[in-house]
Amino acid sequence: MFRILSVILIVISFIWLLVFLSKQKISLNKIYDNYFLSFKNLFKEIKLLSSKDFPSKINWLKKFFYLATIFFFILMMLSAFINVIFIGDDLTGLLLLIHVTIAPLFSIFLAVTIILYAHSNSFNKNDISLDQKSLKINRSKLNSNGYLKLIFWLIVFFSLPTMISIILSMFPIFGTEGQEFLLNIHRYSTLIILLLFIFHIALVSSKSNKPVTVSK
Amino acid sequence: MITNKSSKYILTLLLFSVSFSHIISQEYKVGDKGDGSKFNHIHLLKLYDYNGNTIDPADPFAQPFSTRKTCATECHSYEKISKGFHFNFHDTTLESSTQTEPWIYTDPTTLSVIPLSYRKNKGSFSPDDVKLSPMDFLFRFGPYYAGGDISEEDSLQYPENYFRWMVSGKLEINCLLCHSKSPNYDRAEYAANIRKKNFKWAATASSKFAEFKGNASRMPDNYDPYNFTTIQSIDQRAPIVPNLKYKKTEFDSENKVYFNITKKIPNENCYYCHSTKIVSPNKSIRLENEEDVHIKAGLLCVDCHSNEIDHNMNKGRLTKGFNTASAKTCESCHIKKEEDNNQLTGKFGAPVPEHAGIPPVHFEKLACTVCHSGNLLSKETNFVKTSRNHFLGMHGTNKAPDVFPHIQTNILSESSSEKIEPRNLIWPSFWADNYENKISPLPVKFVEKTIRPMLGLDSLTNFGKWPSVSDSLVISVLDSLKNFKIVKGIPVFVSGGKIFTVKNKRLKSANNPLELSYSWKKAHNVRPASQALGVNGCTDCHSLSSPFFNGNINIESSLISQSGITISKNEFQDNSKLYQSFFSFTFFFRPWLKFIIILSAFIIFIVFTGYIFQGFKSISHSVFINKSKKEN
Repeated sequence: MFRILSVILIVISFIWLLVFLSKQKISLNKIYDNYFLSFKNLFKEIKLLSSKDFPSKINWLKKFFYLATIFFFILMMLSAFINVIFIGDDLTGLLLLIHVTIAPLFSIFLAVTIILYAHSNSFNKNDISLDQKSLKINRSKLNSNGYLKLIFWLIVFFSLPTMISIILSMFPIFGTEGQEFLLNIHRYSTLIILLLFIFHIALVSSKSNKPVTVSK
Repeated sequence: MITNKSSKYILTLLLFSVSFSHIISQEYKVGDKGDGSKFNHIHLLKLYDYNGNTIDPADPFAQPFSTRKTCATECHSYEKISKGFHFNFHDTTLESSTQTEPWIYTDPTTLSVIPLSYRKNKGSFSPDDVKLSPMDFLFRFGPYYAGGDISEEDSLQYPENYFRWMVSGKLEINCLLCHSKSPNYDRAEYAANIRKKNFKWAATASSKFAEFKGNASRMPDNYDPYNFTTIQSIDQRAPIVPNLKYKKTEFDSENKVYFNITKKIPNENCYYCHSTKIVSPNKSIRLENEEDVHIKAGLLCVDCHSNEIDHNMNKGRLTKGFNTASAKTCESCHIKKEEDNNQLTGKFGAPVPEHAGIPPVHFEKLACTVCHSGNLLSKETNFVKTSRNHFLGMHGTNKAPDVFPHIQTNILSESSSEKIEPRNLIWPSFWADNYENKISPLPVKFVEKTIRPMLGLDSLTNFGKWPSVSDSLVISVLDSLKNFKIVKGIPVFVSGGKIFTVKNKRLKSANNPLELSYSWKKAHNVRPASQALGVNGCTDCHSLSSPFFNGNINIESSLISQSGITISKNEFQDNSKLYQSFFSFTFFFRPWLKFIIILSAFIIFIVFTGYIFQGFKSISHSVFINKSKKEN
């Protein structure tokens, strides 16, 4: 069930991503190049860390944690979904080893990234327009920045069940049925995060397809 | 050829009567199906011999009673019963894929350890493959053979044994072996009589109804109990002439005897053939003499290993040809089914395990018995002795701990169902013929006659040790074998997971330990949850010091040059040792992993709740301002 659902959703979201990017005239290669170029630029600007300019320091750290979290996230997703999608088996063997080894690093980087980006992603009146008549959120007027923030907070939200479910399964609290339930929570919330990440990539790429640099 | 109409009618009538009698023989008899009463039926019966004559205890020529005639003439269907699991060895249509405990032909003086099975389990050989006739097979393994099948079926017999069968008689299914609950039913006496080839007397001799002395194997081929000429030709002073005297006190006025038998087989009866004893100098093995948790809880073996009148025993696993609906596996009792929703426990009040904290992948990869069965794991493998292969319970059994064959136990190995399960293992060793890339062991009698003198091994001085010979001796034997017509291809010697051949006067070997070992599933004794593997946490298995993945299995070989060779336990589990070591190593950091993820989740939760309230505040503020503007 999970295999079928994840294959369908991932394929659909990738197709959507490709269509979306082609409309924006951005190729996947370009996103890939930009990502590594951003990393390269970041290391070129590593001296900022020793400067007395505190905002620059923070800015550098924000970019570094953001890019590193994406890197770990991709590794986590690859190790998680390769077995599920291509073999139809549970996560075992070398992939499990990779998944478990990266997991603590990823969770630290994710937590720090969320701390660093939470403030800049808090909603303000520029992101949300209100329908004057019904007082409901008028979605058509939610700009891309608003969507990005929404996706950010959804990722934050779904990361909680992802992490809590797998941690609870490591304690002798839940029996086999409970373990299955926790594993399903972990699986499905991870799938949601993956889909949100794809939307995030699409929106970030459309917003700016230039490599990330701190000085700008 | 049929020439006229009447012949056709006669033939049709004959065919019909044969078919009808066959159908009748397959029908249920009066005692085959119960009426629901749990009362134990009293079996006060007349005894019949194999000719169907009633036995009179006063008759000096009274013959041994026949179970076929006594139990099956009126009450039970012998035909149905004889198709049952303990009596259908020769019926290979039922099961061949599952490796079960073989009959191990062991002869240290010829370096032979050959797993035999009429069921042709993978890795074993049929007794016919080594030219072991049913009579020879019974002589060797018969003490634990319940009769029927190869000991009754004429078509399976070797012509050279024809007269011996006339002397020994057929070994009918011995119902008493399992069903007797008489305290003086002597199974060891049954075994002793089988060893003397007193086949037709064995059931009677072991019962309380008669006294029997004699040794049919020492009788001449023309021995006939009714023929005084042959009896007189035997030296009467030697106590070997079969002599049967029924105890008159056991018979009532109608010449009936009381059979103390039951449908609820006592466990001790099963233990006669199915006892095991862990052999280890390691005294810390707590469970050596402990009992299965199910037995302690009051269950009988037959509560799980049950059967109907067809005697197709339930073997605790789903088996081809058997009724899966009635199959009793661990899950049958310990896992609640949808229809049992209102019950708190499984069948027989079995506890439903929670397995708290154990990831479900364990249940896909491991059999229940891995954690719940056998002795606790140790780095070195232990030996086990079994009734059938070490002749436990017989008179004069060799009680030495290292008596042959050497069966290593608790080998965690991947089975045909791709689950890891505890298995017993032997390293077959035999002289064989590699003909057209098929390795066939040489006939055991040829090996005994030809190779034994060449080896010159003294079983007494080598006792208890795996007999070891030099490469040069094996080379000379293999060279000599080329001169025998019986060897059609290349003579080879299989030992310790290797196939040895002679090439350029040197011993060459092809290594294939997994294919050349023979292992079979073990399920008992079952340990309770409190003694299961994993009760101390993940590190019971996932640690660098755990014997689950770490440790080696000794490969027993008959060559001195091959002594001390071991194989990693991982080889049997289709695991990489490096991977398992690294995976176990990660469990050292598992507490850190938990701490880091809990801390991260806590931070994320704080940030999320903090900003979500701020977000709501911003939104409600915007709404309030917009609303105020609208009203103004």
